[in-house]
Amino acid sequence: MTTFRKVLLVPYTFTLMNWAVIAGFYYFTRGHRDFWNAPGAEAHVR
Amino acid sequence: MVEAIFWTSFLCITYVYAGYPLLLMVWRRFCRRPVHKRYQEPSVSLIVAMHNERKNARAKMENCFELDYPANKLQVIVSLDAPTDGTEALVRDYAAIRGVDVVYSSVRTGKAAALNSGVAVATGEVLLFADARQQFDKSAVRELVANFADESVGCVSGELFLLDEQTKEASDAVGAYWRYEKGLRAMESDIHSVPGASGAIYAIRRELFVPLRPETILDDVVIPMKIVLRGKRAIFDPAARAYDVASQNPELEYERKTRTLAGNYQLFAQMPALLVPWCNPIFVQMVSHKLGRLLVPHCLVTLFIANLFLLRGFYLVVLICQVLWYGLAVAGRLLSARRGESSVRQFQRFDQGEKEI
Repeated sequence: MTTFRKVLLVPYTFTLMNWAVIAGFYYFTRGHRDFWNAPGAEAHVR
Repeated sequence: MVEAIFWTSFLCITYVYAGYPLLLMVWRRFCRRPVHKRYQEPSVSLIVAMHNERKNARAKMENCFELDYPANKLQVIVSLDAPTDGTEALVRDYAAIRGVDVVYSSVRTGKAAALNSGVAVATGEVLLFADARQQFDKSAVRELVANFADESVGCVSGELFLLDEQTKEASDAVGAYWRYEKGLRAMESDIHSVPGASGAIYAIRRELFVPLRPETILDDVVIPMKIVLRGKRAIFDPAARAYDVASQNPELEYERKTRTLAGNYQLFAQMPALLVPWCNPIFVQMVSHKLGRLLVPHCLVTLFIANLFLLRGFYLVVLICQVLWYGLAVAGRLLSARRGESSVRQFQRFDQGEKEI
């Protein structure tokens, strides 16, 4: 991956990770997400 | 009013991502608490919870027996949570040869309950938790347990390295974010404790373990924070390493992040004492690092909306920057989608090639 592409992905990744906060709240309140099988269920970034 | 909303949002975002790291740098300079490591060999129980891990189980167990630690002091426990993909047979075959303790549940109970079952059969003075996918460095156990020579330490988190396809540390956006995160953890650890460990590699003193509630999402935050609330430290030791492959696209990282963040909401609901300054010795770190991350997206929305009503001077510059930023985010989305399609096409070609052979 070129440096230009890597840089271009930074704003997208940042925005997506912030959207994950909203999605996380939704799943927490609804409580129906299967977290064992979710991709990356073995989390490493906190 | 609009200006107050703008500045509150702006300062909140700036503090979480820049002000807090700067605060930690200054804080660490004046209040560093070094850990007195001493190499020793207490008995260790290494616990791995698995559901459907057929593709990782064998490599993980082999990795456990390649560690530089006396075999008679290392108990390997695999806690199986109703696997349906053949993981059980694979683990039991291996266990018969190498002496792995297997705990099996025929009913799906979740990771937290699986860890509780694993701990119930553990005999070690130190409990070491790991996930199935990541591989430990040979010296990881030795480095982790050396920290328990310091009586103030109750939990030690190792360092997880995210590697790219060339097995170098990932340098994409996800890798950069992870390095930033590890920098924060190192500083928090030097001051007192980290507000959460790496699920892939962390160890605790046996006597400090409190069984998890079955619905717990983030065992690697709940366990260390319970220890911190009891007055011990939860530290980060970069000398104890585990390795994983970085998510190749942001969408996979998004799925993982969603889970983690849902776990953070659950954490505050389960442990409200974390938000009480006189109960939590790392209250500032908890609010700045964990709670702050939950507030930032809301601040980004209010910042943008407030900015639409402030179209002059400095505010106009900030608005232009925001529009450019989100424009680049859309471009990044399109780029990521194209890369995803390209990866699928490459896989299809590879898959067809294999079938022809």
